[in-house]
Amino acid sequence: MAAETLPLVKGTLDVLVLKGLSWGPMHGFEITSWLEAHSSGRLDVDDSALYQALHRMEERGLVDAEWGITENNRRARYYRITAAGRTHLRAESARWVRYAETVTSILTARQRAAPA
Amino acid sequence: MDEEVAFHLESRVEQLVRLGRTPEEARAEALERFGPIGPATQRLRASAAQRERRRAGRERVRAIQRELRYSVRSLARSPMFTLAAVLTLALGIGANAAVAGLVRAVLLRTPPYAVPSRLATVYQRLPALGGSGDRLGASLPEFVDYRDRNRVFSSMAGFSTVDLDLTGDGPPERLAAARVTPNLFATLGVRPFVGRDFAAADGQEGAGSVAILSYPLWQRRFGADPAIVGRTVRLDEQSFTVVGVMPKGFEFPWPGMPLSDKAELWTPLVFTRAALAARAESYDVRMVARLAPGVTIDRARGDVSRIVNEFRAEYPAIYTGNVQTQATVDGLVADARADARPLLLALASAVAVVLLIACANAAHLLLARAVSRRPEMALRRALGAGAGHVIGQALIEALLLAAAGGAVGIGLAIAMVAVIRRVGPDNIAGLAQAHVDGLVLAFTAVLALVTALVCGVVPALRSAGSDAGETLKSGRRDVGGGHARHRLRSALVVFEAASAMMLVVSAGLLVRSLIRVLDVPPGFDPSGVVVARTTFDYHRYASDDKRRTAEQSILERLRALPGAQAVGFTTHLPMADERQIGFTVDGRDPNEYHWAANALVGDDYFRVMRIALLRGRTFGPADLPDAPWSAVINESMARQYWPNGDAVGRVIKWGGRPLTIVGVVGDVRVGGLDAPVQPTIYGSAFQLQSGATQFAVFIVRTASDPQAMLDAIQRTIWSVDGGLPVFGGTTLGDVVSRSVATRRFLVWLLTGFAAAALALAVVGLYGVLSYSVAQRTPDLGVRVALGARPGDVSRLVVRDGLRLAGGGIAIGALAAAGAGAAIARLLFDTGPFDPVTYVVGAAVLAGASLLACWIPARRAARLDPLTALRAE
Repeated sequence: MAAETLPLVKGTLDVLVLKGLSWGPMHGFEITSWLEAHSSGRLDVDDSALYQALHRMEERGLVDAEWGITENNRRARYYRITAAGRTHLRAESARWVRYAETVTSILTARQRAAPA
Repeated sequence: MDEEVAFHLESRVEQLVRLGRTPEEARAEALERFGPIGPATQRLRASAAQRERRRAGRERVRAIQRELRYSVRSLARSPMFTLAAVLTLALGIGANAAVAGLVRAVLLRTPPYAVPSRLATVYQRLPALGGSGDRLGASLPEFVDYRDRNRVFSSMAGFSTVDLDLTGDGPPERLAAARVTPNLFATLGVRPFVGRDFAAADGQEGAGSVAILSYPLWQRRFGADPAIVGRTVRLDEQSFTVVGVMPKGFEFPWPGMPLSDKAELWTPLVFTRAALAARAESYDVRMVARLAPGVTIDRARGDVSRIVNEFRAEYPAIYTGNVQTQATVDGLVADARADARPLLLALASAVAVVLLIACANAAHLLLARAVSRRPEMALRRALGAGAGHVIGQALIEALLLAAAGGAVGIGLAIAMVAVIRRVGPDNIAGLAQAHVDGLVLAFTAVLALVTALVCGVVPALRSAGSDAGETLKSGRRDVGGGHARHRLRSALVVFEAASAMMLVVSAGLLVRSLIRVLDVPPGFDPSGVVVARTTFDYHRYASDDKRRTAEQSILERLRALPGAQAVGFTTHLPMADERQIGFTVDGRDPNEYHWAANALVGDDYFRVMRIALLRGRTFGPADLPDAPWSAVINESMARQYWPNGDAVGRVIKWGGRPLTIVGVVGDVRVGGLDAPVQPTIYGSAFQLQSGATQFAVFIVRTASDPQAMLDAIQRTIWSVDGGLPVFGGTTLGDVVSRSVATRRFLVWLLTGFAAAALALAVVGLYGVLSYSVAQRTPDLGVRVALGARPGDVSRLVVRDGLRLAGGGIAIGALAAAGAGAAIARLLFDTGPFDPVTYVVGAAVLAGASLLACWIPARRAARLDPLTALRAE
């Protein structure tokens, strides 16, 4: 992925992670697996970038973390979306969808729209 | 590596291995997929670690909150236990907080001066005169010597207290005041809040008369007049210009210093030529000084001794006979506390004992509770709670109980201090200002914490030490270790009984002392006598004749009052006023000064006071200034100086005046019921003129209402001169009881604390006995089933109880002997080993213990053997 697209991807990654956590608390590897499963492996993200996103959002209070026990009785850091995180997720999803719709509609236009 | 990252990589490796990679390949791919760890990642990771630590802290707090909630719920489930424990601790902690409030107000109060620890008082002593020559001031020339010759003080001031009549702008009023050297306030390091300080010129002979007011006087009498500076006030019929007002809260003389009537007004001590010539003729200039930097009290003592030796060598003709003046220095602060210290130490020790008993009781309650909760604790331990966890839980409960006890105790302390402030004796400086302040609260908090540890730690260890499996299996509440626990409980009860015994005996010794004091005949009959005071100012009554005429006409009109059975007059009232004069005996060494209490009295004084005339006569109408001067002395003085019984007709000299002894009267306890009888010389108020004659106490014996009579006396005095201040109206009975107020106060408080201790000990004993009856129910049931009668069973219980109490009484008696010796100074005519008190104390303890045994014994006697055995 090109360096200049990174901010967008970063922002997108945040929203994707929040989306994943909106189903319930997960630890880092679960989030990675979830992302890989839902993107069918099309998203090419370093695992460390995911942790960066998690820690950044934790700093901003969008997610909350606490140690918990996995199914295999291992200690893992579980992340949970906060109320602020949900608000952020709603706002960012709406913005992303509007943005994508706008870009899509321009790219797929058949003819020039009449000037208003 | 970070645990989170490690976990992630492991999970990834496992995933890849499951997908068919070799572990080596999987590890390499996992690392590659993880990607680079740049500085940004590291920064974020560090901040995550920090958050992690904070979260752990919050988690600990939440854990404690959980434990607290658990403890609160569990305490709420046994309200009787909780109430008993909280009240017990509240009593112990509250009593301590209250006494701490008193100690803070009286002993830890600092004077409102700059660096008070560097201030000192200088005394002269005349050891040849015994106790009465102990803490004297100086004559003016001596003061000047100390001031000018010392090498240890950076500043030295003198003062003498005086009462002044304030007239004009309202009813005439008697004020406590002090004449002070102009540098006094500067020495203390306090400046007036309005106006100016005294200047050196104010102390010069012939300077205009000026005064500085206290803040309360300015508020009360002058309505906080902002233009007070420059106003003229009339003091003792002379005009003084107000130059300043001292700040709020300023007090001088500092309470506890001798003659420490709190002054309401200060005027300069003027160094008149006459006073500067009168070396060693009086001792009324008190001295206060600021130590120079680096000077210790000891060094100051050495220096004033040097000075006194110097001037004694310079004036050998003056410092002769028993005028062997010495001088010493004391810290002002330490000095002020000397009087109240033994009393407060006694109280503080008593409440400490009460708290220990309360702790023992609470510990016992917690122990019993720990036993009843053993199945629960065992279950918690079986479910994985560590020993530390269980101990923590028990300690948290003790802490909660102590905190609640402390909170209730604070309420108790506030109430107690309020009562003490109201009823406490007014001669303990600072007592009237006692209150529960921040320092006392802090002390109480610490006390509650210590209390929790003391009473919680043993039960906590016990509850953790139980073997989970055994307890759960047996289903019984008390298995194994029962004996050790019972011994511990018994030891607690013995300790409680011993402490209670010690307090009861100590209080008993003081009660007995008070009874002995109250039994002391005062030497006069105070019942049905009222007194009221006035002063005949030198300026208003410039001539002796004028004063005498006024006194006589007031007395005459008082005699005419309906209900006045007898009327008398004196300058100084026993147990309220103190006045001492030095005298020599005619025909003996003229340099041999002696000391005697003194009052100048009217003709009917001895009759109205019912003081017995033993020999000779009292004063009569013929004892006037132009007749030979006569004196009446008391029996002790007659016996001491003329043991052959021939005092009447002898001559003593007072201030150069020869007085012929015309009569001997019975002894009067001038200094108070518990003070030794002093030699006493009475003079005739109508014959002698002295510094004392301006004071006047009118005495009326009446069967009617005291207040009505006091009003009538005031009207009568004002009918002769409306400008005379009338004050100090009271009954003589009040005067007598005030002289024992401090002693009575101590007795009340100590008796109260002893009663509290006794009650707590009885409750403790009751608790242990009922508990042991409950424990022994099966055993007792077997006995009943085998034919033991109810009486036998209760005797068993009572025997147990009395054995514990008896041990406590014996140990307590030994402890009481130590305590008695420690308070020997507070006792009167009662030995610290007074057998009656010990026997009564033991009987009280034994009786109370029987009471404590009674209910458990009855319960034991009523046991139904079937139920009892089924309980097994």
